[in-house]
Amino acid sequence: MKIIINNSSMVPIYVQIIQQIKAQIADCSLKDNEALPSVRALSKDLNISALTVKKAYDELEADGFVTTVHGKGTYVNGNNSEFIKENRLKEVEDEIRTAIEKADNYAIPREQVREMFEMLIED
Amino acid sequence: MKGLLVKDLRIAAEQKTLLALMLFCALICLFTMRDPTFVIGYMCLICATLGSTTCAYDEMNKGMSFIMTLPYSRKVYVFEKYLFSLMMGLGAWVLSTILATACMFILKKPIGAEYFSTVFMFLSPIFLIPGVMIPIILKFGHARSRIALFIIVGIVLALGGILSLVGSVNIGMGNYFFDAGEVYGMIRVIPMRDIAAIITIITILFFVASMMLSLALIKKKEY
Amino acid sequence: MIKIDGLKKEYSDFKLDISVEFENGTINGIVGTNGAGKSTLFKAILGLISYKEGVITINDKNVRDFKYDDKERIGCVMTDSFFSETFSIKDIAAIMKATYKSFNRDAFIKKCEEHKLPLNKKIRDFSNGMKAKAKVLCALSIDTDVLILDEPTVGLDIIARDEILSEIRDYMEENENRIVLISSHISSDIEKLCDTTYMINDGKIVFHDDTDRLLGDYAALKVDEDSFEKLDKSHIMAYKKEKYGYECLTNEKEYYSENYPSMVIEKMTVDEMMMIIIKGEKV
Repeated sequence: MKIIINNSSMVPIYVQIIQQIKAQIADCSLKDNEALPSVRALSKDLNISALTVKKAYDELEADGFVTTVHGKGTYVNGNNSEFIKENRLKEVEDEIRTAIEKADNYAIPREQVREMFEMLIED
Repeated sequence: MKGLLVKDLRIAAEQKTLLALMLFCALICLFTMRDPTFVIGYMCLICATLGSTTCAYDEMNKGMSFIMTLPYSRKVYVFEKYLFSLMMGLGAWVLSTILATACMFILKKPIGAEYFSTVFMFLSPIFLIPGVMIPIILKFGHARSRIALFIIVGIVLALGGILSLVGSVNIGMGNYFFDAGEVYGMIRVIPMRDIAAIITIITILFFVASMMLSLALIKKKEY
Repeated sequence: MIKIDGLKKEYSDFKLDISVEFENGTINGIVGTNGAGKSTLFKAILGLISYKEGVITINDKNVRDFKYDDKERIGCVMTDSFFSETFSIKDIAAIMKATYKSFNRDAFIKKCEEHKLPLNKKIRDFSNGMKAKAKVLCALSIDTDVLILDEPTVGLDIIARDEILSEIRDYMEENENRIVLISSHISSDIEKLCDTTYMINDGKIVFHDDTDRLLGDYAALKVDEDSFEKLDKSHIMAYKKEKYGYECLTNEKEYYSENYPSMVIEKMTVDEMMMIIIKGEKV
């Protein structure tokens, strides 16, 4: 499993890990029921604290992507592809909603927002 | 205690050039001097300092802090120092006595009570020197201990001088002339053998007292 | 778990006053200026100094009651203290073997060879980097539950440091219940290795947090005087006057990046955070 961390990114490291693992599950480079590296092993490879990796794994588990078996390791859940697709749709939806809310806060009329959206989506 | 003994034996082994030289000189002295007992004194004096040498090595470069993190308790540390000093001192004493006795035999000199009294006399530095040095190094560090060593050597030489007045034994360091007085006249009456025994016992007691002192000193010490 | 409860130690120039718990399975970084109390804390845990008040327990046993078997389970590296420098690696191996039952001589020698430490040369003839490695490898050569490292990488180049940090990671991998306490002046060591970071200043723990939060959620806000006046300070921990205005430490970077999109927000190293906390003002 290849994870590349950008230390100077504003995105917290554990979030980067989560994103990349999710991406690998989505494009099947991480197979169903495959074992993820141990927390310590991954922290060593990435040169970060084990707690950071643990946080990432815990959140992935809470979101339903992986399961941790105590004493054995962390495994990718079966049937993930559908789940991921849905998750991603929701993520984009949330972002759009946030943009709309912000526009409302700044008293930007919805028509203008729609125009903005159409323009951007043409790119 | 095993680890501490291994450590101190290795420190003693470090002194190999000194010890080899000592043995070499000793052997030469044996055959050139008329009194082989000098060798016993010489070897015992040098080996009696080995114990405190290990204390000095331990203490150098703030090494004691690390040593105190080893699983040995402070009591065991002190006890091992005294034990090691005894091992080195007694070892030297036995070896040098064998050498000197052999030499006496070869030179056809009398091996009697007087000889053995002298031999036993040389047990005292084995107890005295570590007894003085170890607590000093524990309390003050190895730098100031050198001054103490010179003082000790001075005392031993002085003792030697006093004894040479008392008996007819030449302990090889020459005769010292003191303005003695009647006190010496009294001591003169006591046989050499008994004096040797008394001094040995006193130094053994001193040795034990020193160990008690060292134990108390190390308890309080902060590293 | 290492539990330090109400430890108080007084010296002529400062007072140590610490209560903290370190969990099993964690690598804990301790940072602070020289003389802040890091070494004193370690010495108290190791039984090198006395203290009138406070109880230190490791896995529920008071360190004052530690016997030989208990002390065997603690490994340590001190900045300026080790075996006598007249010893060689082989001498040290012999002493360790006679002292610790769990000492594995072959593994130790092999590690020393891997790190290119000469086996027969006296430690006094080692370079600083080699000495530091020797100390760490020695501490790692025994099976311990607690590892205390006081500035183990001081004076080392980046490569040697990396190698030593790697060895510490391996140590944790072997046994998940171990605890590591490591103090360092080198921010990146702490950031890469430690799960939690504690900052000691003037004998007290002035702050602590998970390292990944320190790297992810903490940031420096650089604002001019006017902006500072108007700034929502609810998530500002400390601030320092600068020529351009103020540098503020926040532990909620997201909050400020969302609400003040044009503000200059920078990541900070642990060292920089320490500077603001120690030299700046609290809100």
